[in-house]
Amino acid sequence: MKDPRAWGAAIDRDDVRRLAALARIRLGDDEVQSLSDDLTSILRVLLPLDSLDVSELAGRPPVDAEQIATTLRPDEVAPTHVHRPLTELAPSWREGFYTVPRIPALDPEARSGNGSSEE
Amino acid sequence: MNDGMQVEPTIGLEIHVQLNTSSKLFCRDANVYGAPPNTHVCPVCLGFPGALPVVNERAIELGIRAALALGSDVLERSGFARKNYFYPDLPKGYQITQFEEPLARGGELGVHTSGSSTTIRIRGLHLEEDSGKLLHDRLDAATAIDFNRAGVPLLEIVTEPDLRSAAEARSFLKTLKQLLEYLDVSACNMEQGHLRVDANISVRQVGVDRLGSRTEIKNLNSFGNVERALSFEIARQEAILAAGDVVNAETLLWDESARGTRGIRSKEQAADYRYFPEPDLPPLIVSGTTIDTMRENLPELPWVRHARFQRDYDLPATAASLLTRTRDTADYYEEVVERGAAPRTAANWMTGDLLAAVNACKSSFATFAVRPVEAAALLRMLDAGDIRRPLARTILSRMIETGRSAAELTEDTGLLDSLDEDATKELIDEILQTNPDAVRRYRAGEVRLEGHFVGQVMRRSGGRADPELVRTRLRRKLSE
Amino acid sequence: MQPIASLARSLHSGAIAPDDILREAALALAVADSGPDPIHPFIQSNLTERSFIRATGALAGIPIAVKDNIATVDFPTTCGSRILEGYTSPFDATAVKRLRAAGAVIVGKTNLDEFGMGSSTEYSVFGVTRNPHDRSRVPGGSSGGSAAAVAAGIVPAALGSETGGSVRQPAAFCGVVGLRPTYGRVSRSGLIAFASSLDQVGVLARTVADAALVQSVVAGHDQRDSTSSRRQLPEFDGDGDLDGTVIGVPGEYFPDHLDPGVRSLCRAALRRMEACGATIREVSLPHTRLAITAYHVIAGAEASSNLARFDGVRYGASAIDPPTPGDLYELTRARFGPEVKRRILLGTHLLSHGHGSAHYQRAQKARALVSLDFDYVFASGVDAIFTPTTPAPAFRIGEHIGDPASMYGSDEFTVPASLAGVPALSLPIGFRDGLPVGGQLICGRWEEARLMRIAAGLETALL
Repeated sequence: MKDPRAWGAAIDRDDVRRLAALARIRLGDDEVQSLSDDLTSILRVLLPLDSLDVSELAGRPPVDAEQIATTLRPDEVAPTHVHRPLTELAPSWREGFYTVPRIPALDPEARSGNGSSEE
Repeated sequence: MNDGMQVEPTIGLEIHVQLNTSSKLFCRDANVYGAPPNTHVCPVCLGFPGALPVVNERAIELGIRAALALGSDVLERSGFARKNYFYPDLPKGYQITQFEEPLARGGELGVHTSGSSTTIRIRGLHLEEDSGKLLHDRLDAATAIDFNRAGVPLLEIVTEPDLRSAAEARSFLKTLKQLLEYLDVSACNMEQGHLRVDANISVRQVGVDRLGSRTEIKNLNSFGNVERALSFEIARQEAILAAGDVVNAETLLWDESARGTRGIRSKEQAADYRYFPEPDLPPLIVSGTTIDTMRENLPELPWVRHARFQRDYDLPATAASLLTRTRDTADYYEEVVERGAAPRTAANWMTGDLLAAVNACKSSFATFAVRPVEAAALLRMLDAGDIRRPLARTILSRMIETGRSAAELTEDTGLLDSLDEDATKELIDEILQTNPDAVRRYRAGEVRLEGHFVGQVMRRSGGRADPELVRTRLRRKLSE
Repeated sequence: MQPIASLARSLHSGAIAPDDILREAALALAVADSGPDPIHPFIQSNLTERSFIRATGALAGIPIAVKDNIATVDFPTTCGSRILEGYTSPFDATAVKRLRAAGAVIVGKTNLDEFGMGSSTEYSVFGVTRNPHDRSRVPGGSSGGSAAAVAAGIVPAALGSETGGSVRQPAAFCGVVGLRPTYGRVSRSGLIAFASSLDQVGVLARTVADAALVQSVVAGHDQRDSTSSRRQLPEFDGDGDLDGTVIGVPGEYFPDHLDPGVRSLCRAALRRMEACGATIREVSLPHTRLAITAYHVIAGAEASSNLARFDGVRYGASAIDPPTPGDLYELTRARFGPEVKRRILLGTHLLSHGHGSAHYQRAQKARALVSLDFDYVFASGVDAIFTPTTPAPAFRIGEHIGDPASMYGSDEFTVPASLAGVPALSLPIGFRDGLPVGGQLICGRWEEARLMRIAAGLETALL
């Protein structure tokens, strides 16, 4: 059995299908084959980084001290100026809501606390 | 497995707390509940192409405040990461969350459950953005999405698996909620989903070190649900173990209407979130001095205040608990005392008549029409013996009705003047006439009814009658 | 089209009117798009007269083209993709806002490789852009449309965007100046993200001075971008000077496979610099060989996440009547072109839990090492590094399409500076068999003024 962690391991058609499912892209059978070939050859062209010697980095300060901290914004509510209502750009819009085809109420992907939730 | 096996549940909680900020975590839309759908949205929280997040400093402050109160180690450097998954309520296709570099690590919270006390360790606290809200039944054949909530700041508090029962989990959550309210970190409004809980549960044999297979229950949005879901799940796992079977590691949803859990994903199907550091946000740096300053400026914590109330105001533990349950109540109490009411009187009233009045108005001490200065004036009159308790009650209800002060009401309406003999007589006649049954029983020998009659007269008089006079007149009348 | 400074003088003196410039631009575009092999620099353009053109500002009346992955409210912003078909941004990118405020006239949106992913401007749903110097060849990419528009004399300057070399490489192929600023110098707000930690808005222009002028307008802190720097852009007075400068020449950028014509033009340029008082010093950037891998791992990973937002729910093209939400996503996202699908899947693979993001973390370490190479060289007293911009001049249309991996090689000299976040500029140093060749100058972080001064010196020395 191949080691999926190995850098140069081939990306076979099943791998492509799994990746496309994760990335939510529907592929035709011909695309699956060509992507399997392309990704395999791309990964072979790229150098493996597994044996990188990073001892030089040890204990070094960040390259640019100014850029290492994120900027913070005061907690103020303010309207964002836009040239057209954002909701007009919605592909599917009904009664004040964005819509998608009906999701089953107890969907396997449903999450409560960490982000998504149902009502 | 033999029948005599002793099992012990092990529970860990992940609590998602909506932070009490004005604006969202990464953009300037209002963080409000109940607005018309999709009215508090902008290119950033809708994930428009080219829109970028900028961190709300208040959210960071509130997170640090909670961490300090829990005794957590606030990290001077933390960072945001992307959690990648697709769902219609997630605008960008990823959630910005803190992952490998959380805001704080460690900490603990003391919990008291029916007499016993334990300390629950905190694993860490991190910030993340909320998603939009899906409504499945609003539209025909479609799921509706409201993105007003998308990008609202959440603080996730993760405990170690230290909880041992559903009741303990509930107490922990109540204590945590009280703390977060005290700190003004969150309004903790359960109906508005300010506190949402995921629970991890495993049941193990006592004496066995290794934890059993763990399940995770999601979708717990009330403390009642947490307790019910945990009780259900503990019993379910115990039954599986007792039957000699193995618990599946899986993710479950609590179905409130069915009062049961339902599996949605096994461990093998574990989601692949492809976390990596959020490149749009450089690390968050909080200096040690800033953390120290925030620690010094931390508001008094509920359990510290509770101890101080017992000590400084000489209150019994139960009264101190009631008075420190929320910060508003405790603040109200202290102001009433500061303005001259006796601590004991104030405590009695705030756990009795005043509390009843607040509840009757569906108000809270924060917004109650009678402000502490007015309540203190009333209680001072009571303490000085100017009025008696029934009269004080009458004045209080007039204060609520009219918005006038105790002093004004007593001056204007002569509430302080005692009832003269004639008026007292009239009242007694009236009470006896309307209670012929009781009069008959009294005359038949049930003399303890005298107290009942006195009480009624005193109440009707608004406390202005002289109880001694009432008593003599009553006896005389009843012996006629 | 004349340089901006002389256009501005003519406008100021009244010798020409803004509409005259637009007419000249329209004429140049008509010529460019004529014949069997149109150059096709624009996805959308508007070169008609404007009712109102600001009379004041550093770029008053100057036509500027904008790459179509930079948001504009008055043209659609498509990223060359079917997934953004019909999308017009509700807001302007900060760089565009600043151009407008300086009086510039935005005349159109230029063609690009879809979402900036490519080095030839062949991967656009709107068709290929051709090299104005040889229409059988690519203009480079991904900012090929911007480079071609400047090279064809339609506009004096254009905005492009850089991730791994998407401004410098097409500038070299089309014989114009291309500037990549320090990471954080120009706001990314409104730049549609490909790889956030590498993306920067850059400038393509006819001259170093014009590039510097446009850069001075678009640069500066923006509160909408948390990675935008608060540093002031150093003043550049437009004069070149090489006297007393130390120019580092890294051996790693002159490999055996370097085109001999490119090699000799680089040598000639170095001799000219020496003649102008510069000291040429051999330097080493030993981790250069890691750069392409680190770049593709980081860019792929970030791209796979950045492009997740195109799901057909809130804007853009969407699948028609999908029966389930899954169909909505998968059919909408099937609209991505082949190169975008390759990069998304590559990035998804590299971040996937089979790897525990180990590849991404290692790539970040490799990136730090590449970055450190530059720090050492600049700390040793080198003012600027000089290299060829590309290993060879523009290749033929279709040459690399069948072999995507081979295309990645044309970025090998531009990617290291991108990883390090340092400013770099490509300028024309001559022709090989009628094809323009670019030389690259790289300076330390925030040293754009030094970069411009040295580049302008070389530009003059090569006249």
